[in-house]
Amino acid sequence: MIQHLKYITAFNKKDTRKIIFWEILHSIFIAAPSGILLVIVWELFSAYPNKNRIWSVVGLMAIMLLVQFFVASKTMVKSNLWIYGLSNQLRIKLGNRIQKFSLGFFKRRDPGEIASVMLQDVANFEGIFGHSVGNLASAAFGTVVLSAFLFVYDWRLALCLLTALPLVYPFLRLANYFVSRLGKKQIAARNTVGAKFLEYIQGMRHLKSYGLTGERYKALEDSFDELRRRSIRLEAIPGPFIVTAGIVFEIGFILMVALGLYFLYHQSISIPVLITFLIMGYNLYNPLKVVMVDYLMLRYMDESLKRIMAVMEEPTMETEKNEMPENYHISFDGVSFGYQDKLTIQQLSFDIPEKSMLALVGHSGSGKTTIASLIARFWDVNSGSIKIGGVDIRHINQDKFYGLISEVFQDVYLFDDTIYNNIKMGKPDATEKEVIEAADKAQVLDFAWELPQGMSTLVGEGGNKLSGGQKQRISIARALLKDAPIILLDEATASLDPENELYIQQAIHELVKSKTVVVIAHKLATIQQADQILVLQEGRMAELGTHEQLLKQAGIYRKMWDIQQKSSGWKLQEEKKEISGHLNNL
Amino acid sequence: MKTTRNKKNGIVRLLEIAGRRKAVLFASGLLAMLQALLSLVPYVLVFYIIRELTNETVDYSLARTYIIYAIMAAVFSMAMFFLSGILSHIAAYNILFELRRFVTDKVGKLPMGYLNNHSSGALKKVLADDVERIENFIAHQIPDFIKGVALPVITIAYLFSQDWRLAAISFVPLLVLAIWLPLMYTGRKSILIKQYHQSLEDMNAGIVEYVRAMPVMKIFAQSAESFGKYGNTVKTFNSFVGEWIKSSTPAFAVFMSFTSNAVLPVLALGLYLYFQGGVTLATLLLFLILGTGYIKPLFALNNMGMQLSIISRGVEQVDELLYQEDLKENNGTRHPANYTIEFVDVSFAYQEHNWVLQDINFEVKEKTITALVGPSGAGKSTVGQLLSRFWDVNKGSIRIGGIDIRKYNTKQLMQLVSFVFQDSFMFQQSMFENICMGMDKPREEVENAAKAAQIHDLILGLPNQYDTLFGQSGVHLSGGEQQRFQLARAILKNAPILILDEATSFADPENEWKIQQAFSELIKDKTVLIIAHRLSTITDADQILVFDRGGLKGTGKHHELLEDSLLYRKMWNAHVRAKEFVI
Repeated sequence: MIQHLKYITAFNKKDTRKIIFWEILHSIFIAAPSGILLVIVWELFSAYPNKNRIWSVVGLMAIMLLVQFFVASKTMVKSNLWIYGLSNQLRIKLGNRIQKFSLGFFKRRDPGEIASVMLQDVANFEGIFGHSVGNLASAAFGTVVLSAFLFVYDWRLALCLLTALPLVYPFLRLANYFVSRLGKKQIAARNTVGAKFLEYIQGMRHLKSYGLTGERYKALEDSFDELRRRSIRLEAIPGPFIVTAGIVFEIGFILMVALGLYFLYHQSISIPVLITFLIMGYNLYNPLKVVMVDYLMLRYMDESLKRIMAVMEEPTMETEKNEMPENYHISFDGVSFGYQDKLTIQQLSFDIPEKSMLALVGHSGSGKTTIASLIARFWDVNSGSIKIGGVDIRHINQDKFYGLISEVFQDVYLFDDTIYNNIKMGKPDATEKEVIEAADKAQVLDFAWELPQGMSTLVGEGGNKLSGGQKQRISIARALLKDAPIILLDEATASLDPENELYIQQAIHELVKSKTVVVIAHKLATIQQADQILVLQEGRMAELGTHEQLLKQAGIYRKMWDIQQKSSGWKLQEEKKEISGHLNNL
Repeated sequence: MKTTRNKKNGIVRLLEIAGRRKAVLFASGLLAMLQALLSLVPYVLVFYIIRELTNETVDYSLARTYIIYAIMAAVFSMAMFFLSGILSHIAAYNILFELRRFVTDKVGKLPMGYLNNHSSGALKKVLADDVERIENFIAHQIPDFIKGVALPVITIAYLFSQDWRLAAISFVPLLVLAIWLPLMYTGRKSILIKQYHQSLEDMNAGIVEYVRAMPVMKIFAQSAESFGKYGNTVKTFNSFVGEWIKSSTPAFAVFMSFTSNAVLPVLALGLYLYFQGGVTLATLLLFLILGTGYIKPLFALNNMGMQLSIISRGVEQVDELLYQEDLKENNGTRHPANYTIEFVDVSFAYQEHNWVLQDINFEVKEKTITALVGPSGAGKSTVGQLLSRFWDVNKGSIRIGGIDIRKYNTKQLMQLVSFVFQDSFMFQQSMFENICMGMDKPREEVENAAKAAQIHDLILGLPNQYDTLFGQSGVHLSGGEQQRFQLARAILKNAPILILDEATSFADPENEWKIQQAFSELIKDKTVLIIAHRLSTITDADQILVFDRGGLKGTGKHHELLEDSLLYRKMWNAHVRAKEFVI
């Protein structure tokens, strides 16, 4: 935790020192009234109390109050500005950082989760650290100065008070241990509730048609019950330790009083000394009790800091060199890659000559999509290299690199903006004529004309006001406008919207004209004319050749082709039905 | 909670919710009050001790008794603090549990339209976050409030019993605070608070968009621009916070400084009275120790106001959901004579006057196959959803065996009709449960259904076979495979009427013949309504209904429609050409 805080406060070292100064000054003022009270008590217990002196001290207290208004407001303004300044810088740094991550990062991590790091976790830092920094300062200052002060008066009583500290510590550690252990479980239970409920909503139609709604959907109710149990345990189990720590403080104080009375009885201390300890004892303990709660809060905050640091430490995809390829010949040279330990791609070497088409074929999980993702540099290879025009893609400046590639995959992200602007994204400086042309070629105009606002129609969040096929055509128009020399294409996108299949096929034809194309293929008939077909099996190259060559080889490709030829589309079979069949009992 | 429309807001509604665990909360409150009382005991005992000390002769045996009392009070006070907290939390989490059950139950009873109009994320926020916030009110604010009120009252009552003049002046800080606090939150400040919340919301939106759009931004190389927008919302927020801090903190600092010096008026008057001989030294010290101790719990009350508005807003969201109208439920049981389906003059609109279906009439004879075809948006999918009563028709009626479907109760209707949806859905449960779907069927039957749907072998290949959890690492099912789970469910359910929404994943080229087999098993002896997207699928259907823009535009068999319907012919030609696609 200290390390994390050091990292963050280092954003503004100069102010950090100033803040420490002001916070200490402020805690002197907070402690001052007790000191003044003490002076008065001493005076009152002296043989001949000096009234004038007492009144002047009371006056001093009033004046100090006026100064305190100033010091407190100065300190609090400065320290709040400091904290929020730090969190501001933290957000900017996080923003800069995630810009440099690979696209794979965004595919792997839920974007909502990253956003919540930048929002919630940074807000936790602001809130908790901002709240406790003053308490920490006055506790740290108060403990040191007061203990020293009390030791001077009577070391035995002071020691008695301070003995409580090491006694409290183990209970605090235990409480902390349980809070973090049970807290983790409680958070997990909370996430399960959220996930199960999402599942319940998203699968509602399916559940309804099996009458599985409400209490009958046990999995969800079980998750509620689990959360209830976990939440109560989180409160109940660490509770006794915190309470015990509180009791230790209370007893420490009372024992000090008892000891004081004993010393008084033996006349080894005077009454004012005991009263000093009565007043100052509480002053010593109170900030510590506050900090005890703060400590648990800070541990909780540290969980947020850990998440922030995890994002900060995530490796970025830097490009040291800044080379640009002369042509768009793609080559794989001994490429291996795995998402985790297991390699999904092993020792692949092949070439895709410029303006030719490579089709990737294989069962699901054979690595087709991974190859396309590696070309787009969603991830970097573990070993070997991928080159475009002879240049390792890791040496191409990222922004320029993405200019070389268009992808048409099954999931399309549209902005909550007009159809027109969503297409224009492909080339921000495009003229209106160019945008309309692309829209025309991608068969977008066909459906846009029928919409009330035409090309100015808003597509809704993520494009949810449009059908899958319509979104797909917009993404193709975007790619057409971008006119990148390399196209990565999932062939299945063409059949996402059967009613409009033909339109999308026409759009794809426009897109791939004279480009270097990599197609992920499902229906083999579609890619018969590819220049090369790469058949994958468990991440390795099994076969490579043209359609005719592979058919002759009579290998995996041949087998897949035969199966697909046999069943060309499923069909409702004519069953001879017995009209006299019995009715099912209800 | 209650579905009657007696809308209550804010704290009244919160108390109504808390009322579900009145007894436990009452006990918790009582303990909180006792704890407040006990927490004063050590102070009072210290006073007694000091009083002893200021006497000419000190009775040390009395002091020993006081110390034992003080320790007991400290232990009991902390124990009560703990018990009160546990009770209030138990009450709170039980109430949250119940509320979540209400919400879940309600969501299941609403027409599907409600879910279509609300994002699942927003509904999740209601169930997870808005409900969770109520915990704060029940578990913390109720006991805190009781303590916050009880402590000053007890303290001041006790102080009055000691010396009324000093007790009265102990009130002064309370009065000053009572006047000062509202000043802190009025006038220009309230406008600032609004602006602050606005800029916070802007920043939230900015961050979410920045992260979500990052992949697309990268591909289209626009990161610099998007960062500017994001950076601006962050900076705007920060400058607002700065302004907010500068304008609100000084008032708060005055408040804080004042509380740490709250002893001043009592001190002045106390000293004056002491010098006059009006009070004893011990009484003076008592007031110095106790006279301002009641102020701390008031801090909690100060916080409460702000939090209450956030909690109440959450409850409003929960209530909005709970007060939605359900589909009407009929309790009677009906027995259809047969499973013939009729649509009689059916019209339907998701939103008023925006007709999706208009004056639809057709009949599906028992044990025949009827296919619905048409361009996307023609209304063919809606027909299936209406038949399962995910929505109610606006006009006309839908009948099964001559009885309007609204006259069946939901459970019975669901036994009559199976629906195989276009999109399959797998639950994060075991393979067995994913087929069983809560139906009370023996294992053998479930396995038979899996065999018929061609997924039995696939399941046996999984690490824990039928007990394998879906979504567990390493367990991946393709779209076509998930679709076959849906078929297995429907085969197991064996309802006499079957609605099939043909999915694109049925066209999974690698598994086509398997799906073919699963289907022939499923439609045996059933009344079938198929929503077809690929025409080659349904050329053999007994009846084909052609839909266009919400109307029924043709009825007949495949070869009849090829001759009679221009639309059908056009669709058929496009389909044949699409099948020849080569990149």
